[in-house]
Amino acid sequence: MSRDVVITGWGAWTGAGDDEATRAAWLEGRSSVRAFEKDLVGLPPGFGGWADIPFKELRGLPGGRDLRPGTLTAFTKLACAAVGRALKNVGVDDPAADDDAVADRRGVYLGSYTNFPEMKKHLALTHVMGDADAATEDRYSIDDAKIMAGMGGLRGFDFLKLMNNMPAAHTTIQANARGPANTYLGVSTAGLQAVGRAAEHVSDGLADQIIAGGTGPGTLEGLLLVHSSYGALPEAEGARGMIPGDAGACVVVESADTAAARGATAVARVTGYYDLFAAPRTARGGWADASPLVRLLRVVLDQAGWAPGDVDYIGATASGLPDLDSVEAAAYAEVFGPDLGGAALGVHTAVTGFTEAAHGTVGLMGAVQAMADGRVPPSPGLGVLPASAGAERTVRRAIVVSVAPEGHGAAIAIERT
Amino acid sequence: MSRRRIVVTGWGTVTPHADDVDRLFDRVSEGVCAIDTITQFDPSHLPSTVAAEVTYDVAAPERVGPFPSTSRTMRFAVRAALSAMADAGLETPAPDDWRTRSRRAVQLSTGVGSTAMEAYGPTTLRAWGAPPEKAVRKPDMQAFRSLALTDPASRKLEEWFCDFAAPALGVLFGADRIATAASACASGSHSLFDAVHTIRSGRADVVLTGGVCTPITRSMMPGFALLSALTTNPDPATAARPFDADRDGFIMAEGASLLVLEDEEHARARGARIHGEILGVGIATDAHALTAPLATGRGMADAMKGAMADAGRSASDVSYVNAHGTSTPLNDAAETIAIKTALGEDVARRTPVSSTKSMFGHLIHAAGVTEALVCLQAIKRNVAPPTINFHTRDPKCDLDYVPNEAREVPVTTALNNSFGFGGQNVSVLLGGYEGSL
Repeated sequence: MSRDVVITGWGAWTGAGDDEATRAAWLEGRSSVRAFEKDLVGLPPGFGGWADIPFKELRGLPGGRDLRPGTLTAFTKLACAAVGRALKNVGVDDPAADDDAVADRRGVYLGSYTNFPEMKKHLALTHVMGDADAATEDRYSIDDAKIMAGMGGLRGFDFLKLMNNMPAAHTTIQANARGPANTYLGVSTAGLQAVGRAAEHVSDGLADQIIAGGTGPGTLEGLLLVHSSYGALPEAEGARGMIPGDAGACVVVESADTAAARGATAVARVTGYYDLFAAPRTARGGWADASPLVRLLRVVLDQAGWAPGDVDYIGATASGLPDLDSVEAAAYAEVFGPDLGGAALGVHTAVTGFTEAAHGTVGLMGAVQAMADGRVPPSPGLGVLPASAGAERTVRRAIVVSVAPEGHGAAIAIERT
Repeated sequence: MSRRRIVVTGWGTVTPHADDVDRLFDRVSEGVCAIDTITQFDPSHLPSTVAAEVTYDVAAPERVGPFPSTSRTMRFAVRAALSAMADAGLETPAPDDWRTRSRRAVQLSTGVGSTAMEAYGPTTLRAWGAPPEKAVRKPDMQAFRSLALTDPASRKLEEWFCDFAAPALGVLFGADRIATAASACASGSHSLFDAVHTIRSGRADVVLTGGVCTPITRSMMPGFALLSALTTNPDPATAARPFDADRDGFIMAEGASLLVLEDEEHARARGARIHGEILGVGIATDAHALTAPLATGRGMADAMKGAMADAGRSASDVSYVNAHGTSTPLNDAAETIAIKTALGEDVARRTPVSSTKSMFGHLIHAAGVTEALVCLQAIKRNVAPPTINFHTRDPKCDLDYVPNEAREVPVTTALNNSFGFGGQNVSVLLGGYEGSL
């Protein structure tokens, strides 16, 4: 990388609360996974790390004053919460007051899935569009003449807010970010990919500061139905499978020079990043073996100029999907040795649930926090890898990994400044 | 160390006009309109009834690696990718050829997948009975869920979240790095922006980049109509009228366009044919509003100025502008101001500016790269394509929009604009390449 890139702050909202509450829960080994309530009742698996963000709090965050509930999907709301928290944590209380020169060089990169509608409204539209004559024969076909009748309960913003770029669009307004903005889509690794690509682009000089991370409303009805349809969710409490959770998480990535000029504290320096695709066994079946992830890890170690033994913290994905977890464990064992070379393993899945495109960034935030406060949280619920004990420990070099069942992985290396 | 030059060595397209880049430009330079009344469903009850559809067969394999490619989005993307790879003379590397794979990338933009809530129609009938006359405000979701959990339609929702286009192209192209960018109507150009920097920084030598979009659906058409973004003019021949005083909204279109971008030295070393060069790229965000562009055109102008600066070129070097030109009242007025700001009033007035959306509508995520193809052809043929249906001058739109007929002019560089909802703006400056003609 041509310019030194550092991380100067973070922000998040998970089922445990904001980033401070999330850190506290993780350090205590306390899970935010709990029974579904309200609109989630009746959805599989019946429990998860669902987040409840009071809108008043969202509007009280920096840049949040003009947010409107009617334009926010669950994805966008979590993104705004994370970005607002990050702005607050780095002391940008009123981003609109920033000089043009600062705003022009600030960007936002977020990982997400395609924005998804409130199923209730759109299913009601689907229902009303049905042809009444066909229905008498138990067939569903669409009566095009009734489409506009179904639109009666919808507004333009019900569609606008589904555009894939809305998490970034909202947060650029919130953060007064006039530089590059992007929403990376499609796989749960997209959040860490957004951070890594942001680091690359800051290094390349395309921006001075990018707020980057991911948004993942894992307890969204549509996602739960999809995951349920291919058996990803546990059938009962205690069974194996992916426990859904909600999160928005981001870090503030900036050039070392810019951070120093504004007097910011750089917690970590980005020393390597790579994302890698290799065809999975099936569309959502994950890699057949650990070799792609081994290659990914070795590329990042090589970029950082580290030997495996130099790493003292590994932020793992640990999605809960048995095959994906096995591939991850095998890759770590092959690259770092069976005892991980003495590195601490950071896993937050049992604390937050699997938080889709936010998951990798929550893990990265944990690594950066460990560098800042010298505390390695416990990793409850692990069976296949040695868990960290939850102790005070100096974390100097960390690798954080995000892997997705669609054959995609991302890994970032950071070093304490 | 000098900066790597980025050249175009392959292209592929599936557009309403044609699935061939030369034929696409033939039609566009003839002023042929590909907009017609929608055929994929009966639009007669919708506020907007016209669109630019792909009405010919688009053949593609049913699977690419493990990914199904039967949906409209996937077929378009795969077809355009195969054409671009063939045009570039590139093949899929062997699975264990990590050396080649590590130097290739896919940078794609996609819209909403082909599946919509309609997949759940039968379940709504079983859960809630016969369709009512008006939508029920509080449907019984518990009744729906108990059925939906065993409904194969749940699997179809996967396409909403992840249409697998980028992973499938990753398999075809044999790329280590894949990414899907979303910045609304600027997405395709945004992918190109990222692709340029991926090569320039040395992270890859060859990138397959572009966009695909199939938004002509029963939910997206009325949805955009509710936003007052679409034309309500029912006459397909005259509905798209960018910069004209009587414009009233954009025309939805579908398709896919992909470019193979390559480091110049890499391309020359393998003897590739070079179609043109990406001279510079610029990006800027309004940070202002979700739907309306800044009336001052600041973000748009910043993107254009960024592209020129990145190329080391001045405004007087720009010989043609392919405008975003959506045919909406707000965009076209703001873009006119922005072009004048970026190029300077005098240069802007003597530079041909056209919107080819007047002929093939707005391909949303595929718009930017489709229009980049038009620019490369304009350079190759020294022809500025027209803005058709330009009859009544709007005082807010006072540039030379190449009205109604193509014009033979020397085109050495072309500036391509793409601006998206959410205030995301990308401009690309393209040029010819010595020996490419």
